[in-house]
Amino acid sequence: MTTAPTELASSGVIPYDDLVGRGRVDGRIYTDASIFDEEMERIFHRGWVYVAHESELPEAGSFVTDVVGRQPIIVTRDEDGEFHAVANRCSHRGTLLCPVERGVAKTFTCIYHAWKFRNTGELLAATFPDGYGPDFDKSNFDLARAPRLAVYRGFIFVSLSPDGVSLDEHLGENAKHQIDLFVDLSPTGKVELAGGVLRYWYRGNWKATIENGVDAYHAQFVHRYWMSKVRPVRQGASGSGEDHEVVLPSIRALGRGHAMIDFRDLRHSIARRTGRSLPTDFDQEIMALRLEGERHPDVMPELSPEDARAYTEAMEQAYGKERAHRLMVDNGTHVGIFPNLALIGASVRKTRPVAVDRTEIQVQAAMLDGAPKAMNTLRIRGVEDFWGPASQGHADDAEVWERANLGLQHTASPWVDFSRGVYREQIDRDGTVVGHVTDEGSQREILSHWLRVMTGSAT
Amino acid sequence: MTTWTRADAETWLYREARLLDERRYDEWFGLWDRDGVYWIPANEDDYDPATHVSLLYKDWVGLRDRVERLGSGVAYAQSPPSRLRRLVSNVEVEAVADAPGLTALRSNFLLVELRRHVQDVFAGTALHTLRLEDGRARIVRKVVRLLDNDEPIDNLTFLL
Repeated sequence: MTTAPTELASSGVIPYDDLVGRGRVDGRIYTDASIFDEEMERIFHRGWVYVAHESELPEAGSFVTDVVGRQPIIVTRDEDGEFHAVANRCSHRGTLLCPVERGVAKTFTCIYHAWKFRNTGELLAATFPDGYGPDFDKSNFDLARAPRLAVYRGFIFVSLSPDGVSLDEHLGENAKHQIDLFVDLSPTGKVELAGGVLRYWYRGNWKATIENGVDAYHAQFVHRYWMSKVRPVRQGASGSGEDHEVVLPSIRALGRGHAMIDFRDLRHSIARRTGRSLPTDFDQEIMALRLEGERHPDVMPELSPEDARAYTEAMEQAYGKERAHRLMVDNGTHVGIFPNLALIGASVRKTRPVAVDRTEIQVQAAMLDGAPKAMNTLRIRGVEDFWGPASQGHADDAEVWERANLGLQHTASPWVDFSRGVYREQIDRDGTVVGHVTDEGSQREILSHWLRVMTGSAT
Repeated sequence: MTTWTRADAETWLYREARLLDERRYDEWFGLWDRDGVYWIPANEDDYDPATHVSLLYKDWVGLRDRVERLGSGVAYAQSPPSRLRRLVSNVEVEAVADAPGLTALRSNFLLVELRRHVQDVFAGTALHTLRLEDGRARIVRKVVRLLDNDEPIDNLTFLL
């Protein structure tokens, strides 16, 4: 799995400033195992990393296991509803305590010598404690706890370092606003990740995924077939058949490595023409499924007029008429949160680097609490059609990332170019940097923040 | 109404396996009933797909689209295509209660896939519900329960 040492690794100190220029990077940042090791330390073992959503931990004792960087952890919910992230490692001999991905357990008992821990990490009992003598202080053997855990709108993040910016500072107002848009499509302001997980992996570097998630330039090439299904639905929605994609989405850099494809202007232009404002009208992944021919109602249910009205009324009651309409037409977001979370349409995507050339991804459908069942079923259909190993979206992207991993082995001419649109990007009023939909400002945002973290000028 | 013997079922399943191995997807799609539903569950073998994501959950129209896409030349995860060989065994036949004309088949499969120099193995159980009509069998429902449906999978863009 590991790449042979390169001249970068053997030189001792990695010259990051030489590897990232304005609009280009040295391709070895995707293939060099020593850079991957440092990424694990500086990005994943120090910074804020998304681990789980609180709806996955619905009751006292609920837990989810994860690996943050290289550290196996258990995220738990205690009797008081508080979340904890503890080492998934017995403090005695280091055995993995919990081998399953989710469940309910108020205590964890190691299978090796039966040391037992509360889900807060506290050691309850070491078996035959007299063997440790009279001075045995079992509090020295509590499970290691992640120094910091913070929740924003249900999304649980941990930092394995006691120091650094707060989650609030890390996200910033712009990224928080995008998360708000995603969650506030629910009239109760809550999403639930209770509908299973699509798991997949590819032979390539983790940054390929996060850069691609906010890259619109590739969509009409890699996803040509999918776009050929989306476009007619968008155009048909105008009633005129004319191409109203003259209002284009844009690329927006939000700071601290967060970036997005911003569809809001496009969607509001459609809504003005058509008077339509339901999330299922604007979700591209659902659009691609609106195929000609009579559908099986179990697979593609119709949102009834009653359901549509009930949802609209619930939204208006919750947010007021004007804001509800704006939220519905904004239709959530398409944002990447540095380093490992993306909220795209109805999907929540978590990226896990396993090795420099191996990456695992989990995608879940965010179900809108308080929305009609058919709306959530359509969101599930859209998520599974675009994401997952059998999908028509992700699978072709993964082919690109695997081929990138193969192509980047050529290092004699190492540069990878991200300069598209440098000359025409602009700073918006809110401080975000906005560019043409096909531009690479989102990748430049990710890579410039990556450079700051890797060189220690940001945490 | 006639009931299939195991030999009838095997003959039919081997034919389907060959069409899939040889990626003759248009012919394979011709086996489907207009009301057909094709389901590859994710995480678990059985649940309500209205409230849970699946690896694949398609009706006849969705399946037609998938077959068209695989033949479009721009389905890059199948370019180059997977080479496929599957063994089908442990075949069981049962009538479907209260549904004359429907027959249910249960079988296991072991599938070896080779693509871009990497060989992979998939295994699972297939549950077919067939409508026997005018001497032909049409697929009304096919459920593929993959052994590794709760594990990360890299590429499942060929058809099972």
